[in-house]
Amino acid sequence: MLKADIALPDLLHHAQWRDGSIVLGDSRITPHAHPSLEAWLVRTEGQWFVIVRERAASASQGPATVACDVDIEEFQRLYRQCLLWHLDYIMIEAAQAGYRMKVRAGVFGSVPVYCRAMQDRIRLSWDVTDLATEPLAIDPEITSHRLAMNTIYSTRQLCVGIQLLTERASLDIAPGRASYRYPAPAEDTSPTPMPAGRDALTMFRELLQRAVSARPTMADRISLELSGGMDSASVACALAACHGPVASKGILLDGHVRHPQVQRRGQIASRLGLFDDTVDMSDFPPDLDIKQPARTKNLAREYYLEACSALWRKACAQGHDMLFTGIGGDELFPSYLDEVQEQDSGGPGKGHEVKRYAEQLLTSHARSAAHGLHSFNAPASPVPSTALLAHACRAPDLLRHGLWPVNPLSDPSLAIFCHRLPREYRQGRELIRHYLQKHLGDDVFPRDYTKETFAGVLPELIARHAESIAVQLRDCALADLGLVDQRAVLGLLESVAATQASAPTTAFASFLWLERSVRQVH
Amino acid sequence: MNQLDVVMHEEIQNDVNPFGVQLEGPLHNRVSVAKRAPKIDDVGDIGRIGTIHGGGG
Repeated sequence: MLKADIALPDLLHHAQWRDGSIVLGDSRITPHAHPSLEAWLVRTEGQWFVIVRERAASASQGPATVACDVDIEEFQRLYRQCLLWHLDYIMIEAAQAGYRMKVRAGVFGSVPVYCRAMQDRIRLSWDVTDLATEPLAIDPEITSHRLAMNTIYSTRQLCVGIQLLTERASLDIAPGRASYRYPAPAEDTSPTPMPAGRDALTMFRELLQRAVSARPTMADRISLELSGGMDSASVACALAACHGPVASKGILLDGHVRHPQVQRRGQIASRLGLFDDTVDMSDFPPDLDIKQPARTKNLAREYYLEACSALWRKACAQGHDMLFTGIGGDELFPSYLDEVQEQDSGGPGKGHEVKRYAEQLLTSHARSAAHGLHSFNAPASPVPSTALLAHACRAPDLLRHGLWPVNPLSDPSLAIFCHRLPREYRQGRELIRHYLQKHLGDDVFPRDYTKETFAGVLPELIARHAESIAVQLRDCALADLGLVDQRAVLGLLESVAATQASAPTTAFASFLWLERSVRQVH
Repeated sequence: MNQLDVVMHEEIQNDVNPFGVQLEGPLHNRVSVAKRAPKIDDVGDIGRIGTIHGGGG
């Protein structure tokens, strides 16, 4: 949401707006310039705070940047109200006495910032590569977990000294000292009977409608990412109900999933009156080159960045500045442990198989690190952590294309409502299925529909380029760090090339993207 | 202040905090006198290399 470079001694200067940035001495805070955002600078005697936040549809649409001077009582009142802002935000506050600062994040985590705190200076950016401007040490523990494909949502990142400001967290800064604080864990949810007289489908529709209409927008500003799956289709239904026809975009896949995907997307687009546009996955294959790239660094884990970027360019060319996605849909309907059938938990699933391949690459040191329980993950969050990770992964590329991401299915109220539903609504995603049937008819998502998936993309591509990948892996940064066994890596590559099987490919791709990131920053 | 009030307050519903945001107030604009503990020095030599007892004396 913002970028900042602040030297603590500059806190003695008067903070003021200049050319879209808040300037104090040589330091500056630059909110991301976007119509979906507004930035306030609130000053009182000896201290100030800045909030960069999503505009709300329910509020008056004021100027993009505002400065005001208030007394201490009003300052405290506004501060508290900003903390409770009901959409996403980042806040920076400063007190001149002791040269202290605090950075805080809101609940949504839609465009998180990364922090690098040094002796008397702090740098913040939504683009982590802005902070990777000098040689950085690689964190072996985090990297081992990433290599083992463990899910980590933590302030600790790949590079030592660069922190992610996780949802609701705060970072205190004073000369020579930085202190990070996670929030209290979100309340546990459990299945709860529906309130008397309330209907789950109506409540779901109302919450989804509220989530898609929470921000001020118009149909001609919106692109919708429409894969053809249930999640993005439900966002499409809610958007169409709110704004009428909007533009949708999707990546068309090859192989056996293509025909059903094209057919389903066609049905959704025609029934909702969407202006649909697509790119072909085969026209934008993932770049497997892991050599030190001459182009801008990119540490995101998006595997299909090239095809996604092609979509964002189309949206941008059409003058759109908001991208609605279905991210968060996968997390809406969890099963509770006592609901999981014995047969479901009995045998190892595909995830287990992928992890087995991933762990085969690790050295004994890395395996030891990856197997250790750790206490550095962020606590339970209102927006599920895997959705937050997906936001963080994609947001920088979207912002570079002038798009602001809106993920209605990651709305914390919607997530909590869905997590509390009685089992019959969650099982088999029954509630969202009913919602789609009501809006699109019974024939679009039959129970056994063929899901569109990227699973066919990488196996063939890696197999085709196996030789050149093997040449590039003669030098392996993760092996040099003592975290992977180079022979095991080449063995897994051979296995992918020979079998083109999904599980080894997933493990190998995860390794390959991490190897590229490490090469860029190490 | 009117515009500020409108924009800041319209959606705030009685200070409801449904998602557990940390609600402490802003930083105090006053700092207590800094304390300098006897064994803290710039090189972090807590064990006092060269002394008989790391613990002092």
